[in-house]
Amino acid sequence: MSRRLALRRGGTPVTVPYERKGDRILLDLGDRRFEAEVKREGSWFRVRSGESVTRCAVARGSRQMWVSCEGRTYVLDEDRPEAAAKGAASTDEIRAPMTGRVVQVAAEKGASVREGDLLVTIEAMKMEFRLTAPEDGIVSEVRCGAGVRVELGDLLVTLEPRT
Amino acid sequence: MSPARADYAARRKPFRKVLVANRGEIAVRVCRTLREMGIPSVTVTSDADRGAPHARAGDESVAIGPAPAAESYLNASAILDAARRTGADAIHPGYGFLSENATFAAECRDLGVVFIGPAPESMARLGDKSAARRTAASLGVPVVPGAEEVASVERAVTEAERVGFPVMLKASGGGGGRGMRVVASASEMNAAYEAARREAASAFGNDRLLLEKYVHPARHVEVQILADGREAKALGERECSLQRRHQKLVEESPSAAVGSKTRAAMENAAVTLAQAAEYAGVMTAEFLLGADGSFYFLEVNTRLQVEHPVTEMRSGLDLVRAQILIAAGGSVAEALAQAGQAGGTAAKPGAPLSLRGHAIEARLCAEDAHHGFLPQTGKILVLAWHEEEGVRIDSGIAQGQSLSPYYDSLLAKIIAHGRDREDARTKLLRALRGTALLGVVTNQSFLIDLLEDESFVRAETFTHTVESRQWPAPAEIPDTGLAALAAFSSEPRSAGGAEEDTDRYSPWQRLGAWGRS
Repeated sequence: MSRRLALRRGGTPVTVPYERKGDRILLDLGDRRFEAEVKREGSWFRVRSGESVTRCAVARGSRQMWVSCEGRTYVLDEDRPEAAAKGAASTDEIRAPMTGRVVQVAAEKGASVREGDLLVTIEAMKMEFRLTAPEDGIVSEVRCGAGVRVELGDLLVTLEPRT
Repeated sequence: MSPARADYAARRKPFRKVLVANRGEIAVRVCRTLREMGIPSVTVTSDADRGAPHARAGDESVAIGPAPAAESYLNASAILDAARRTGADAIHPGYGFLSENATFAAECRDLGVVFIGPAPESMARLGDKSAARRTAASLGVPVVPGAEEVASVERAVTEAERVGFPVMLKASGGGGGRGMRVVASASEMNAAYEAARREAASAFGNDRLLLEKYVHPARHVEVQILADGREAKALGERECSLQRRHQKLVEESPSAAVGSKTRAAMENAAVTLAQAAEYAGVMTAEFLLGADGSFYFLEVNTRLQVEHPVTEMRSGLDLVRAQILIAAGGSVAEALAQAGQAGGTAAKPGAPLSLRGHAIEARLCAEDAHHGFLPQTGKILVLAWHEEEGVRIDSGIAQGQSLSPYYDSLLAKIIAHGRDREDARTKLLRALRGTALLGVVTNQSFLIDLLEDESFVRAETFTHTVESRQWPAPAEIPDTGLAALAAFSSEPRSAGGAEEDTDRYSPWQRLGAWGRS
């Protein structure tokens, strides 16, 4: 299985290795496998497995994944650090958590950083906020400089996984 | 002929422009009828509701104040000012907020604005729970043993001992479950009394309490009335026994527990009350139905009820249209005839009202049914309704909307109409299962459990059913849900519909660790 869902539900890990080929999804559920054809239809995903067809809706919230099937909604926390540790290749975007002013940029393009290393310090509401690396990686882009005003959600630094 | 009646006869449109002094689904619903009647509408919004659907539901919208209801939707002078500035000659108050405030209704009248509801005098006589109890008792309508006013904890204990514990404390000035407490013994009275008084004061601006014997087990059954100040007509009953915190969750009509004899007696009691108060408008008389078939008058709601669609689905009437026609001086017969047209069953004046089939409503609320029904906030990431003939959705929400903590947790009402109870129940379940609301925790799953429960299937529903039972724990995620999650997670980033318009710009998305230095 080349991919995996790494989520938590009420503190319990929901870890599901899976494969995707076109519209076919194959889930490895430990003691069994589940295969389905999944097609997006607007907000819905039409899930066909054998003769049965159901519709589920999925959305990503700020820190959670939401899925609704047959009128029942399930909320799952995204389990990022574990996903990173297991080597899920992804790019991290460090964005401004609030509108404010950049006090210091510690990140340098091309530098190798460890999880927890300081990247940027922002000042807002007379308080300083330290933005640190969420996981190990390489700084691939620095999009801000000291003294610059940033808006909520502005991209500041991009991290790429070490290869 | 009164000036209002002459006016009504002379014009096709009863009002020039109507201001809807409410928010959420009821504001949207009232605007729908106004649009159908060709009457321009004005909605009002607090600062927290600028982007809410009701702000766009009318022809124009006026900002009336900050988020707290006391400074906006309960702010009578701001609302009257909005009516004056927009040239509205009538105000529809919806339910809650100012809808049962006789002072506000009188202020409207003084300013020459029609309050779409009863006259302040009728409201004072029936809307106040204590006064209504006295009126009912004087008319021979059975009331629950109790006291109209308990001005102190000591008095409450004395009265409770007289009628026998357990008792119920209630706010004289309001409804909707606020300011209500069941008190099992004298030792609980002090805390319950203070809590009920605080709630009553903050919800209704009136902290007077009354006390009643707690009838148990009981069903909640109410009669819908349409009246014009002379004639009053009963439009059948609704059973609303399924409640939490004394707020209704599921309502239906007819009630399986009401036979034709009880129905006639209840309808007669409700009509008597309306006529005694020379009531004009829609009104609901609420009763407690005991296990032995005896019923007691509870209170009158001098406004449109949240659950009015249940009656509309069975009768084909548009009760908001009926309210507007009567507020403009129309008679019950005229209102019935005209308000029936929109619903498809054109009732001829004088023709007997026909109530068809069975209707059930479920209230979709932003609250966590598994954690004490605590209200929830958040942003609606995905919203998709189920469409089917015989299913009606009265909604005040939209995808992308952020829900603030300032107001009631009611998001939408889903109402199903079927040829019989089981048909309606099945349809409502289908509608609930076909609805997706992501981003905010709701009671959707709990409503499904409730409608699937044996007690509901057998129509054995009582006011304590919801809170006295152990309900199923949240279910495991089905394989289909995991497959959909996997499909979503492995989509090319650009394809993500739900993700696209929600959290692409959220700084929390990939922020990682951060903190104050």
